Amino acid sequence: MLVLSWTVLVWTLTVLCALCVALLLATVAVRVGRGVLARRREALVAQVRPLVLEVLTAEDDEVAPACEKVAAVPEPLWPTAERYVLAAFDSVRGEVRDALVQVLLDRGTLARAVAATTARSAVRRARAAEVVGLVGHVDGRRSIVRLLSDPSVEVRTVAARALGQLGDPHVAALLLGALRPGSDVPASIVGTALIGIGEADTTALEPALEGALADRDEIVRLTAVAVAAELLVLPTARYVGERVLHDPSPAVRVQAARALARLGGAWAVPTLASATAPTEDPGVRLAAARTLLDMGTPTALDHLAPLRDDLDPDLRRLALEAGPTLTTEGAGP
Amino acid sequence: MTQGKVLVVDDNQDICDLVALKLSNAGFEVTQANDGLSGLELGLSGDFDLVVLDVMMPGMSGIDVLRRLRDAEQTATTPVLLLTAKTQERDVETGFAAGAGEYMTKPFSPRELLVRVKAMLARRQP
Amino acid sequence: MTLDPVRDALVTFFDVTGSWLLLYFFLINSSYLLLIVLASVNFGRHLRRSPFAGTTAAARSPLTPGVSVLLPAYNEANVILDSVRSVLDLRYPDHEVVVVNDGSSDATLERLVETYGLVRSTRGVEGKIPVRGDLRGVWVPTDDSIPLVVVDKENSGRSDSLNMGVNVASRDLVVMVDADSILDPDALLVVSKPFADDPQNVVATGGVIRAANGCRVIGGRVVDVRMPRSAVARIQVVEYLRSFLLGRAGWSQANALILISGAFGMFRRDVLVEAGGLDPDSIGEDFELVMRIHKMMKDGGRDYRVVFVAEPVSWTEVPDTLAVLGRQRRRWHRGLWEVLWGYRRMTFNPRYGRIGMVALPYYWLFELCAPLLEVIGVIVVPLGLLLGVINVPFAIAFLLVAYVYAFFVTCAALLVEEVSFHRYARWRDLGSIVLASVAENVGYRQLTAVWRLQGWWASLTRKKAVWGTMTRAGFGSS
Repeated sequence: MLVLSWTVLVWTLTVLCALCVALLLATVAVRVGRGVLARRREALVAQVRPLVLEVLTAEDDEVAPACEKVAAVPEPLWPTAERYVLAAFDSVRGEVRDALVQVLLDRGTLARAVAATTARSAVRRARAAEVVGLVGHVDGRRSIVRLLSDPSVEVRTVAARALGQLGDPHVAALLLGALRPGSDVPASIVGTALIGIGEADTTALEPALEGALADRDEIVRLTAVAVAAELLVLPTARYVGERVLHDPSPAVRVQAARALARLGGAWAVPTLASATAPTEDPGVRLAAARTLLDMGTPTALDHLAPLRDDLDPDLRRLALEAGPTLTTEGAGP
Repeated sequence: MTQGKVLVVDDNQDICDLVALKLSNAGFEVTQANDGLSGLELGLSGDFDLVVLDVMMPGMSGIDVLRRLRDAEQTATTPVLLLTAKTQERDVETGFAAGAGEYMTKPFSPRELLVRVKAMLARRQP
Repeated sequence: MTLDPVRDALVTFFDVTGSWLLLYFFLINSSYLLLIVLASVNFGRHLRRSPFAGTTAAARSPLTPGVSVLLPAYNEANVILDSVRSVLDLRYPDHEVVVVNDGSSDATLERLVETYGLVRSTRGVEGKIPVRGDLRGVWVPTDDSIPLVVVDKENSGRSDSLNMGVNVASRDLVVMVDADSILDPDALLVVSKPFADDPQNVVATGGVIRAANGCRVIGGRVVDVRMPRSAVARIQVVEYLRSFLLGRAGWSQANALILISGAFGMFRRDVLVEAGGLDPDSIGEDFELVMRIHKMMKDGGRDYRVVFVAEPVSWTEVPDTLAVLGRQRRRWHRGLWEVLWGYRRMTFNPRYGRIGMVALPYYWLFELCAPLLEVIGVIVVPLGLLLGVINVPFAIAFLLVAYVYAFFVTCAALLVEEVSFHRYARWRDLGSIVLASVAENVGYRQLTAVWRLQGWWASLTRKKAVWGTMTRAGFGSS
């Protein structure tokens, strides 16, 4: 029979109970602390808010004097003001925003952020990148580009997003470069950034996209196809169509088949039809069939008819959806 | 003489304050709400001329609130301006299907918001 | 004396297993503590990233994959309209809702037809996953901008209905919800993010489920988070917190996540189809599906990840009476046993990596057997004390490792929750959580242990499964 020392047990019991109490007290302390911090922050923000709001709601000649008041905020309060203004940039645009950007620039916000992009802490670098993106001034571009090869994946991600906000088409190639294997930056981030840039100026984005569509790396091609489709970059349409059949990666072929729903026209139908061939990858066949279905023209739907007897049940289902009104050979009721 | 009663619903207090201030500077009587539920409750009871509604809110989103406003007789035709982050075909469709009158994306220009609000009220469009 | 044989038996028992019993409980609670530490790392990273997460951006990207939300419905006429509408209104750039009417005998289908102006469609439901129930019809709205499809079929059960839904689903990702699921408006955005971030590797994700009891729910959305009124439900809040939030996040951090909770798991459709969909004969069908996916991917030597998203996205009504709770726990444990047994060849099999070498043995030892040891402990220790077989120090030691340590682990969980999500804002709610944590160790745990043993026994003796009235919410013990 196991013999346990009385004292050890009582001690352990006491210590455990004390630890439990400590944890509970810590929980309470965290809650209280959060409340205290929030109130303190609110007290500071309350001083800054009216001034910034005055700028944001100002009309015409009211803007300049209101900006002066913000610019004149004393140094101890400035960090709060800066944070508040930057937070507002998420939601506000227009001349009031531009005016506030100038106030920030004059006060050195951009310079400080650019300097912080070399900080030791990844969180600080990421925050710096975010600020540069929000300020949206071209002077910050170089430091952000540098961060695209930062050791921390979070920083790279924020840098990619910030580049999208800066809206400079010349960085498109760099953004796509951020998709290289090992870089870990999610393709969706780069894609969104490119779309943001492209919305402002689609033609300037074309060269980079065209280059990316022929890139060695699968993910780059994939992203380029998706972006081209989203922005309706028609000059790339034929090339995208060519990708449907000839790209070595099935994932890219799928994306290209989907892209043709937006980029394609009557000319794309034969390509899509070929992509439904039984020798093709099932995912690609499905994507091509769905695009044909979405197109909905009689020619497109006609190419779905032979799929009614296909071995793949998903394709049979799509073919059925095309409707019984097709003229097909041997299609029963 | 007030230009009209407007309800502003946004979970971001600062945006809420901004819109409220812009509109009240222009002569509107503004009520604010910070979440979908209180926005809905105020909207149903308050007899507003227009509602500015943020879509992206936790708990009850702007679309949820809009639907319930449209379901209720007293707010079935109240003009509603939806605020959302970035154009998104889907949001627009859902928004209009749910009964929004107009749609603005964030980041938005406060001046443009005021212009839209005035235009909507002038048209009295739901 | 008639108690002598009992005494002798107990003496032998404690001689042989006394210290093992203590060790078991020490280990199981320590493992929870370890998982909590892992989870804190997971949260720390998540919260640090959160301001930079760009969820808004994801809402916009064309590279955000489309999602098909599958909603099986059996006699849900009262809630179906609210449910469908709340799912249609979820914030997401591209999603569709596939309702599968599992042969309802009430007005479920009729209400949908009327509200959405549904008309019959030529669309078939044939797909790669074999389905048992017969199709009665497919309905789509006359307004084709509403991404809704209603599949009407004969009654054949939830799993079979979901399989039919998967076949019909047209998007790349699939998520399965129930008609009484309550989802946060951004649930799809949150749970699909791992797929967008790593489309090549992520095959399945799961989000946190919380108890909806006591919360204010309007139109399928939780608008005010509160603790439930019933003590039974309150203790489950603590359980869910610990096991779902921390257990899952911890396992996910260790890259060995087996379970995705039934009420909110998202899968890549092609992987789901390849794995063959849900098994309609399995009791723990969600657990079984994820295991099957693990096996399929490992067998094929393919790179993949199953990710847990540490944000609360979905709410469910937990049983608030002991009777319903008992049925649920019996069923869960029965499902656990059947799946573990069914996949026993993966256990301690190095071919299956951390799943086979760490997660599965853990589940065998600490999830499956835990109720057994708990019941044994609760019976023999007091008995031994009474008969003078064991001394008081031993009894105290048992109390310590089994219950006080467990309470300590729960306190750690509460602290992590407070630092990270702090969803229960009222002081009153914090107080009731703490009280519930204490109450859990005094009666509740012991009860659930008995129920779990009953479920296990029922499976071993091949009794027919009873489903009860509660919708499943997933697995996990305390």
